Amino acid sequence: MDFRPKILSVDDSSTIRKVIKNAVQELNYTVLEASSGSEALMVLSKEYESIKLILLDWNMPEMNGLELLKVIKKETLYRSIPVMMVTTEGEKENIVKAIQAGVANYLLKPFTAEELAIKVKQCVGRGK
Amino acid sequence: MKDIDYTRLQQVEVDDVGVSGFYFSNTIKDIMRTMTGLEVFEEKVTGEVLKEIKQQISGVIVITGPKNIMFSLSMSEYSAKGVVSSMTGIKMEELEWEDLIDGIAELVNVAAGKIKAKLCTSGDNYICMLPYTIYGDNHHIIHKNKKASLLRMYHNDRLVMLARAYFI
Repeated sequence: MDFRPKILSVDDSSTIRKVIKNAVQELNYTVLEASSGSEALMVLSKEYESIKLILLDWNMPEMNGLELLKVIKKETLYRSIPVMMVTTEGEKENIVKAIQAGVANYLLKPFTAEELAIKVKQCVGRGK
Repeated sequence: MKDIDYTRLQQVEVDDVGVSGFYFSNTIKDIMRTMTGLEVFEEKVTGEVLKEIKQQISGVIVITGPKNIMFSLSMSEYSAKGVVSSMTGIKMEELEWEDLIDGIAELVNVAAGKIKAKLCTSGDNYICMLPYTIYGDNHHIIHKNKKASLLRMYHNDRLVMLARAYFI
């Protein structure tokens, strides 16, 4: 059994999920992966109690990251899990939209492993 | 560079190093440094050099707004393996085509995100469409009869890639 705390990485790019996995595993978290909003909701339904943070891409086909964030924040079981946007959407207007929807932190792509680690620690520190 | 001079932007290949540098060159160098840890050098491309560069995989994305821009990065399979291996830590020999397709699409997606952010500093609204990848030996990306407004080669001792921007 893997008792390490879990982080859910939601991104339609397998490359970015791999980059995130490499960086986050260094922090002693187990990384769960989802390539779409619907897959993320499936993972959440089974694993929400052990997920400490959700890393969420914005631009994804079908359900985008902002839409998924709104779904998560409406659901009583999931809403206390902090969500960090990891995205290329750096405009102030979009950051404001994400904050209004309940995002805990925001990381712009491209990012370094060190930048990701710092933000992950900040988010998990202020989580559940 | 607060106000965008679209006439200058459309003629970036002609002689305007400042504009092409601001929107494209620095962006590509930055994302390569951050995402892959690799430094790349930029050069203008002549017809002779262009013939020598293998183009087996291209990441393509369209940025829409007051002006529409199609932006692409093309390279050989070997260069793509070098790039994606550096991004993911997966050994070059273990990378599958699917990894290259996704990795190069993500590279162009992140580059377009940065270009878009610079275009939006003037208050205009731009959107990046989802990126896609084209692969196959010596394919060409042509938009009707237009020549690329920007054509640059980025290289180091491990890779060579071509960046193109079309104002469509």
